[in-house]
Amino acid sequence: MGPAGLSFGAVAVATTASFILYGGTIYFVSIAMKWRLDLLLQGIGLGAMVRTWRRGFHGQVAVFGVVLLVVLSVEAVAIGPGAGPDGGVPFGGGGRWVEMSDTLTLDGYATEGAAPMNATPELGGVVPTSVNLSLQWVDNDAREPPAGPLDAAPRNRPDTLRLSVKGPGAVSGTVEAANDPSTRLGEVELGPFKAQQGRGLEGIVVTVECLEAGDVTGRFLTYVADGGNDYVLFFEYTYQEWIPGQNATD
Amino acid sequence: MADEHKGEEQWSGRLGFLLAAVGSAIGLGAVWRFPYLVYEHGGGAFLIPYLIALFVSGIPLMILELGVGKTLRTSAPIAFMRIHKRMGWVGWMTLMLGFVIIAYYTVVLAWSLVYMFASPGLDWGTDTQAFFDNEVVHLSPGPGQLGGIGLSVLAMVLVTWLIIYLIIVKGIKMVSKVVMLTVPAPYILMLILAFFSLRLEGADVGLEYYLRPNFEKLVDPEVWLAAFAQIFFALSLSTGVMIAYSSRLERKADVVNNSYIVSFLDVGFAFFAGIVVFATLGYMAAAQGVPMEDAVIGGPGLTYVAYPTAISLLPSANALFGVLFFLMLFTLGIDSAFATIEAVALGLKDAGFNYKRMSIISSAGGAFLAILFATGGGYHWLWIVDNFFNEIGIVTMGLLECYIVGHLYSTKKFVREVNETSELKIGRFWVVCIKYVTPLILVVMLIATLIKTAISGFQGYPAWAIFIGGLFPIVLIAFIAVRMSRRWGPRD
Repeated sequence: MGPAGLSFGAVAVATTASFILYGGTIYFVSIAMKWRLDLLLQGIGLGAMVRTWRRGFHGQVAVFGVVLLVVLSVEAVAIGPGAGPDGGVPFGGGGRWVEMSDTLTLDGYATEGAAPMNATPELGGVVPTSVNLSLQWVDNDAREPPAGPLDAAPRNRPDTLRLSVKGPGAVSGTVEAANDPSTRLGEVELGPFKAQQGRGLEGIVVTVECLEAGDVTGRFLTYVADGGNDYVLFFEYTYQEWIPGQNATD
Repeated sequence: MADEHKGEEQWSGRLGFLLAAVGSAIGLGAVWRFPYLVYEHGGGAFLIPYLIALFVSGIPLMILELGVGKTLRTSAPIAFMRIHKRMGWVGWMTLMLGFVIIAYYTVVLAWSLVYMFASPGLDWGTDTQAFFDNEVVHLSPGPGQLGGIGLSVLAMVLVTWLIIYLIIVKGIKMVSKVVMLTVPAPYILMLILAFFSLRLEGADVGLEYYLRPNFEKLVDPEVWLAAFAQIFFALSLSTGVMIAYSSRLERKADVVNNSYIVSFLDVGFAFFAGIVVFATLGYMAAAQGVPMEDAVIGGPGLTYVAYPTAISLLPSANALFGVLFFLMLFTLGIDSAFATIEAVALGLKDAGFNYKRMSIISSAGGAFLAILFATGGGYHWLWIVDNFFNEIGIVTMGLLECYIVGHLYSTKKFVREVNETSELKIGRFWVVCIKYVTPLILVVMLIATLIKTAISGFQGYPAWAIFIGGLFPIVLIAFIAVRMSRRWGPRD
């Protein structure tokens, strides 16, 4: 992404169109108003440009082309490779944009009643173009209670975890669920979230929260007090990578 | 050649003429049509056919119209009659088509005023479509039902026509003064809106959609046809305005350079308007959490449904943004409106009528017609008339203009007359464009419209409505134009 979040392709179009339309307007108005732009340009050391321009149509095309090329080159260097296929091509060298995918796994422990835990993975500067989240846990405090005379059949209450994501545009969602008491497994999914064309999913924040850690209780006693739960977050994402070389393939 | 305006008023200076011509050329299409076309037809890549169309069709036609007016010193009907005695009807028809177009155009301007006054309270609420349909347009179920008329729209239509009358009644001198305000105003307002909208979150996404080039689209002939059609309509060609305005230029006026300035300012404004429109739509998409594709819209849906939604969603200064935007729309359109009505009055004056009386009659007649278009049923007629008057009527007039100047008048003589006072010269390229290239493109556009209408009609309207609103009035106007050209010839 460029400084204003625009790809080089879009900036190049804006620059070229502005050169033709507004540059053209200034040129024709200068003729009408008899402004001596040539003297102004000569005054700032651009006499060679003026002389070439005066050679007629071909000279004018040459001057126009060179000036535009210089400006576009400066923009290309300033804006950089962009965020994807629509983000333009890195300056110099052949190659192509290829969609890559990866999955990061994050372990953590969510404490019951605590503030949502930040579970945003570190992507090392990669800007994802799509994201899919999956949170899994096993009710790890659901140990078998000691056998006792009073509660013959103690019950394990499930743990409820919440997964939230917030990001640019439409990237926003919350999902929560309790684990299956019989298998002890819990799982929630969010996504996939896709970036709008020409833009990456920058600034995504993922949080995990334990809403309720169900204790193991009997008719009269609490056998195991559950304070939270371990979880595993799977962060699946795709991104665009520039593969240099003319014959680069997927 | 007799000077029609010897001793009469002419443009006091080049600036007044240029501003009036630019104001006439730039219209609402710059905001609601051009940006959408760019997005639809390959983003930034669309600018390639568009600029080619500008150079091979738009500017040559602009030179033709300004050249005809300046060299023949009279409005379209008499000018064409002087070129060929049987061709005066083309000029009359051009003016009449323009007159009807402005009648409904002022209704759209009236909507802008209604929205401007609704902006401080964001009166459109959350359902902007319902507000537009029920509170502004009072939409009837179809063209067969006239429906009601909103008092606010009626009042604004009358206000708009009063403004038009007051501007044109005193002729060119008054217009020269008014355009000093009304032409720079939309530019300044657009700059302010750009300052607002480019800082909004999601603006960059909107701009990416607007500008990102998709070069694959360039192999689609429809994209090229759209580019040529847009250039033709964007420059307000074949409405008689440019011929009427340039007929009041001084003899030494530079036609070619004026044509370039008017055309470049027109296209430049539309390009800039697209930046503001798409920045705002990008924000709206981000704020609503919808894909950009769902936010993009063209036509009145953009200005009177999507834009009010975006204005309501703004984090601050909603009312100010709304007032500025709709005021910008009004100032953008009012120049085109009074220019066309003035061209009608000048055309009648050049045929021997009293200018002041003609100003009153054309303004009153226009207001009456506009009221019909302002009804709930008139809304349907508005779009039918708009489609066929432009795509068949005006395109045919453009074609006939090329034929009259390119084949009935001596192009060699025309080129010499234009070049006499122009710093930039025209030559063989212009002749080829006017004699062959532009007519060929206009014929293709015409055939494409006829085939499209024959196959799929127009927006689901019944055939009788298309006939009554589109085809019959064009034929009727042609008939009246022929009668007028037989009756009213040049004064000398």
